Formats: sequence, C-alpha cells, structure tokens
Amino acid sequence: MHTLQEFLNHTKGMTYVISALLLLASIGFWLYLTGREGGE
Amino acid sequence: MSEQSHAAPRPLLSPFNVVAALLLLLGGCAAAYRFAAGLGPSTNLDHLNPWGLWIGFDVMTGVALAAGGFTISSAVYLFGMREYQPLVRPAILTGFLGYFLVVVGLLVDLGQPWRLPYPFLVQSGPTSALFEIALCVALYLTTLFVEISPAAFEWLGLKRWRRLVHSMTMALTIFGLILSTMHQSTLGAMYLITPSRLHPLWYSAHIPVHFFVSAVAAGISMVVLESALSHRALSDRVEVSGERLDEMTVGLAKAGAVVLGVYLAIKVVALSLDDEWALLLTPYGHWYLFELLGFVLLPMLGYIVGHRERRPTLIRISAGVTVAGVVLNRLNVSMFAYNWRLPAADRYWPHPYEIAVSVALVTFGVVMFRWIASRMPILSEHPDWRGEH
Repeated sequence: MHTLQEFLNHTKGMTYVISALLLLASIGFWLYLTGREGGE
Repeated sequence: MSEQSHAAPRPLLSPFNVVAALLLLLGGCAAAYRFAAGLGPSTNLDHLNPWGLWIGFDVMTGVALAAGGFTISSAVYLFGMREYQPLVRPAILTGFLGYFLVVVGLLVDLGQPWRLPYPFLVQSGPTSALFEIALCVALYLTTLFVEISPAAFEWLGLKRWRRLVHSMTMALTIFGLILSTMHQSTLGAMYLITPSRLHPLWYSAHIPVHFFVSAVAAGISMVVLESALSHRALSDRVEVSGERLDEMTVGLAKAGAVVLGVYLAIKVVALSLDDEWALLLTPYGHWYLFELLGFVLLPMLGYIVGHRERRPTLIRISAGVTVAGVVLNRLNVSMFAYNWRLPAADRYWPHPYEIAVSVALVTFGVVMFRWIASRMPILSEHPDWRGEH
C-alpha cells in the first residue's frame, strides 16, 4: 500500500532529477548552438 | 506623400488579388449570414462547446502569432540589438493587423457584439481573467497603432507628429512588453478552471507559462517567415539586401532555438510534476507527442543546425513548422483536447461558415499588410528619416 506522501515524494524526486539533467543539458545545448560563432 | 507611392503599379487582376477577393467574398457572405441568422444556424457552437474556431484560431492563435511585434521591438529598443532594426516595422505592422483581426473575430463570435465595451464601461469584473485579456488587448492594440503611426506620418509628410510619436518609442515598447507578458499568459490562465474538461496532457498548473513562452517562439518564427515572404513578394519595396536578411535570419534562429528549448524543457517538467508519463501511451498521448516532437523538438533542431551551418532556408522551414505547431497547440487546447470525455456525437467541429470567416480574416490581414507595405515606409526607410529610428 502506498501513501499520498510516497506518491508526492516519487513525483517530486523525479522532477528534481529531470530538472537537474535539463540544466546540465542546457550547457551542452548552448555550447553546440554557439560552437561555430567564434570562427566567423 | 513619399516616393514609395510612385512605385510601379501592380495589375488589379493578378492571381493573388482574384483568389483574395474570392476568399473575402465567401467570408463576407458567411459573416453576413451569421449576423442575419444568429450564431445557432451559422455555427456548430452549443452549450457544451460555446467556444469554437473563432476563439481557438482567431483569438488564441491570432494573439500568439502577433507576438512578433513586442518580441522584436523589445530586442531592438530594450536590449540594444540594433542590427534587427529593419525587422521592427514589419513585425509591429503584423502585430497590429493581428490584434485588429482578433477584435474583428470577437465581434463575429460574440452573441451580442455591441456589448464589446461592457467590461470597461458597465461591468468590469476585475477578478476575471477575461477582463485582464480584454483590457490588455484593447490597450495593446492602441499601443501598436501608435507604434506603427510614424510610418503613416512619414508617408503623409506630418513631420511634427512623427517626431512626437517617435519620442515615445521607448515608453511604448516597455508598455507593449508588459501588456503582452500579461495577456499572452492569461490566455492560458483562462484554462486553469478547466481541469475536468481539458485533457490532462495539455492541462497544467503552469499553462500560463507555456502559453507565454510558446507565444515568444511564435513571434520570432513569424518575423522570420514574414520577412522572407515580404522580401520575395514585395522585392521592389524592400531595402535590405538578401545577404543582410540572411544574416538577421541566422541570428533569429539562435533566439528561436533557445526559446523552443526552454519551451520543451518546461513541458517535460510539467509532465513530470503531474506524473502523466503513462498517458503518453494512449491515443491522446500519441497526438501530444506528435505535437511536442514534430512541432517543437524538430524545428528546434532545425534552428540549431540552421544557425550553426548558416542555412537560412532550413531556418525558414523551421519557422514555418514552429508557427504550425503553435496553431496546433492552441487548437488542441481549445478544441481537440477540450471536452475530450464527451461522446463523439457531442464533440465540436467547425461549421463551414466558421472556417470561411476565419480564412477571410487571415486573407484580409495579408491584403492589408501588402497594401500598407506597398505604400508606407515599412520595408524600407523614408528618405527624409534615414537612420532616425
């Protein structure tokens, strides 16, 4: 049996992990997007 | 009047004019029937589906696609990106016509259109999201009218008025940005009261943020598309060279990629916050993924590659897909994923008259843009005011 607290913990935990991954990915995103701007 | 008005006249019976006249005639007849017979016979609206295509497309989509005005004018006047200056007037004109058509669409949609000023004059209801939208749209339409008026003053040779309005540019831009931030998001906030009607994949406590960010993406993409189309269709009026336009397009692609990236990220976070992963395996989930992957992820990748590889054509295609994606999103929220629990027989599908009016409104916008841009200094600078924007 699961409680509402467990459900919220799971959902929020997943969201924190996804948000952290998205923040990390944003660095790669920016570096790739602007990667060729210096050579212009 | 300026030398703009002395450019070579276009033939009256061109294919564009004939098609546009036919569409306007059809839409005009449909609108006349709507006012003569009422909303019942001329639309498929009912008590279960009181908002249809005229709200979902003409208002929700129209406002989002008109976001190019505040996006570009903020970039140029507030963030100092002066290299995009040639795009400001076409974007503001597109925005002004877009908001004007939103109001015209509302007049057709409202059961008692003469009550349009009621929120301001009779019953304000300041706690209502609709009141905020009505107030912001009315104020922003006025702001856009004032912002575009220097082009008309230059055309008419009214130098004093032109100087006066030009001196207010910064204040108008800030005011326009505030109003746009408010009502673009509030259009989404209206759906916060529909958790039982809107499909959970599209419903989110953060839907106002989704609406605002996607409107910025739509605005940037509309500027990319509109500048490319006017460069081709009104080449004799355009002052900016093809190379310069390509440069600006490549720059806008960077902004487009970032905004679409942010939009994709907040949509994924919203999915996670509401723990809706399982719904992605349902038919509605497939439709949602089609919207998110096909019209957000794909154009984002197109913008990224287009910016890196300096490929303006790819960027323009991505802009077209983004615009289509925002249209699809607004139609999903207001029509396809709305009332999703109703049996098929009770679901809404637009009446041909509704489609005819909406097509006529878009056609009217295109015709008016062409008419104004052919005469006033929209796509080029007036010789008397060169470099004074």
